[in-house]
Amino acid sequence: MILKKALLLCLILTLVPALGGCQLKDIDKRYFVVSAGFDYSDNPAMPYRVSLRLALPSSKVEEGGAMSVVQTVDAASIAEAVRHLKSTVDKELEFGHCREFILGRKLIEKDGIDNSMQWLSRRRDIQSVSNVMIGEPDAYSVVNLKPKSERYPGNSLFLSFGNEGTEAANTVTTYLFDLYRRLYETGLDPVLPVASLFGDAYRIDRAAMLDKQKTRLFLDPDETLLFNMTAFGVDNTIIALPDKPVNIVLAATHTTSKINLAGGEDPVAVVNIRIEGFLEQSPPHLLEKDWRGLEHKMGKRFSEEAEKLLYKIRDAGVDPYGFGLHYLADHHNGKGRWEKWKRLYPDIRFDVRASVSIQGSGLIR
Amino acid sequence: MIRYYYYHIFYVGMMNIMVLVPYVLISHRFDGAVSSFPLAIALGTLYSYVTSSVFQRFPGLGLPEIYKLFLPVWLANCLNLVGVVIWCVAGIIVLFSYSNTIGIFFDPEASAYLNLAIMAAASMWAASRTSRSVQFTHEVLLIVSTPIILWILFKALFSNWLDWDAIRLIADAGIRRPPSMICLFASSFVFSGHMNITLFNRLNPRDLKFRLRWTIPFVGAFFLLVSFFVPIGFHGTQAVGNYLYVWSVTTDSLQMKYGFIQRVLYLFLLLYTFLSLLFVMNTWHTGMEFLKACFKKVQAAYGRSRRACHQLVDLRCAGGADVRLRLFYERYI
Repeated sequence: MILKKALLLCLILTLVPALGGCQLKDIDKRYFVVSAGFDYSDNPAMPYRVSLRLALPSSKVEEGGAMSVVQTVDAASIAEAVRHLKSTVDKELEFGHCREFILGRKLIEKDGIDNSMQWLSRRRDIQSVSNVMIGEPDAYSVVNLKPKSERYPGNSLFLSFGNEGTEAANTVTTYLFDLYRRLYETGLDPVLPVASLFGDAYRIDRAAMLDKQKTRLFLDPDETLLFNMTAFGVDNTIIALPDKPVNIVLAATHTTSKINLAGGEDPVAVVNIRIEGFLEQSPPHLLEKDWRGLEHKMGKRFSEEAEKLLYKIRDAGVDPYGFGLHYLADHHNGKGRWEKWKRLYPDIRFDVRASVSIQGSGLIR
Repeated sequence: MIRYYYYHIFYVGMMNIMVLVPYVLISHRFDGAVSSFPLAIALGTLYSYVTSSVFQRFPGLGLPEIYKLFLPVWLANCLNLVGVVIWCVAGIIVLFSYSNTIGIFFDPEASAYLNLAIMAAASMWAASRTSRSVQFTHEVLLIVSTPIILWILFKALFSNWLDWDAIRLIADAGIRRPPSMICLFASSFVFSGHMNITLFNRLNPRDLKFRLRWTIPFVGAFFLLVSFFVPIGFHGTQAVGNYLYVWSVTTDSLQMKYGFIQRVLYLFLLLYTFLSLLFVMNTWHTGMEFLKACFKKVQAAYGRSRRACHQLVDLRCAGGADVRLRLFYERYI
């Protein structure tokens, strides 16, 4: 009995050190970073300019009620800049809720994305599903913008991506883990959305194609839409067929796309894409007259446009679709295959096989 | 009762994801990991079959008792002590690596030893219960966590971001390489769930038949392939080799948009806390029982007199279905 009591006492005493808790800082002693921007500062000794947008929590939740401050510091590396930045604020910085990372356009031109990615992937508290984008003209201006429609600081920017908030067809969504994968993968290259300012709002309707280091090609909004559909099969997009007096427009509700390589040793890169949707803009009775013909015409038009885009991307020397990876997978990563693909890719031919299926003409004929 | 046997097979399959196995296999992904999978599946299944068939001949006896029946006492005790070392080390490895993961993702500001101490204390307490309550704890925790873990695994498997080209490349290129020893051993871990029978056979009734054993290769192969190929699909053939905590980062790449917490990682780590504690509880309990068996005479375990032993044998071999086993018992007890 005494032994048991003594043992119990020992156990209780050993649990005493745990009473200190998890040594966590309380939430009121933390600053929540909601977006972070990295720029090039033109100072060779301290090339990285890090801007962090810090949320000021408030009890009111209303449109335009979001309060935040932006802090900026220059340093020789991103990690040092963040350390230094801590000495300019009174609370501990918390990156766990930061889902927007903006890389300045100039930073990528001067320094590439590799150094920034090293910091982002190394930190344990940065989410792998963060959105990464290019800021134009620089990251600071994107971080510094405080849109009036925000309910919570920083939520306007992340609602722009994916399909949580707006389902914008021209917005490419690139997650951190995806960017990291593309940075290292043979035969698959990174692609980043480009965010710029549009009055009191963000405008994210273009995409940048990168090789493993630098940007090679910027797409305009129409091309970005095509890219989004062909590469990611993004839903809720549109296809327009030029017509007089006004274009015929199909609202595509569902898109699936798949890449393939046909024809053995001298391959043709094939993109199979299936688009379903409703007509949103059309002259009356057009669909009834020639349903199949209209579908065919739209598909043909889409294929032509998409092939033009594919050749443009190919000529820039990047491969965001992953044709190279597909080729290596087809040839079980054999010796010399990667070198062979690098010779093949600059002259490869593309074939976009679009099958458009029109579900109806909306509410009227 | 047969379900207790399959609980072990199932939970070791799920544990496979969190222990060091995927890390080892992924670091050998270009040389010999994939080609050792078929070998591991065949060997693991064979091993499970043989072990369970052998233990089926000794209903109600654990490995220490069987040692005592056939071997001199000193040798039996030596083998028991080897068992103690193996089982306890298995628990320590998992405890250490998991408390490390917790320290990185859950609680970076706390001391690493505090995490370790709390988890060790919990496991020790759980392991020191009777075999029956260990079995029941195992059942309860497994029923709670399995559906959600499977849900996370299937969510990953059907995610749009899973790159099947990368998986195809690794599978296709890897199967053409000669298998390697390290990968064979690492990948056969997933089939080691049946080893728990060495102790828990004590609790099995005498008419137990190991039915449904054909499911073992399927369960094992599923968890083995998922634990290896899903991270490759998410992180590509090259970048996956750069990650130290492969599965933690992979589940962090998933999101529950409309869940209470958006990061799947925390749910996943919480569930794997259950499973790790479960694993440590089982291994340490087995180690403890092996140690206890060193100080027990086998007669003592089953009654003092020779006559009582004979009664026991009669009871166990009721019906005289297995004459040879009966002879064994009578000769050696």
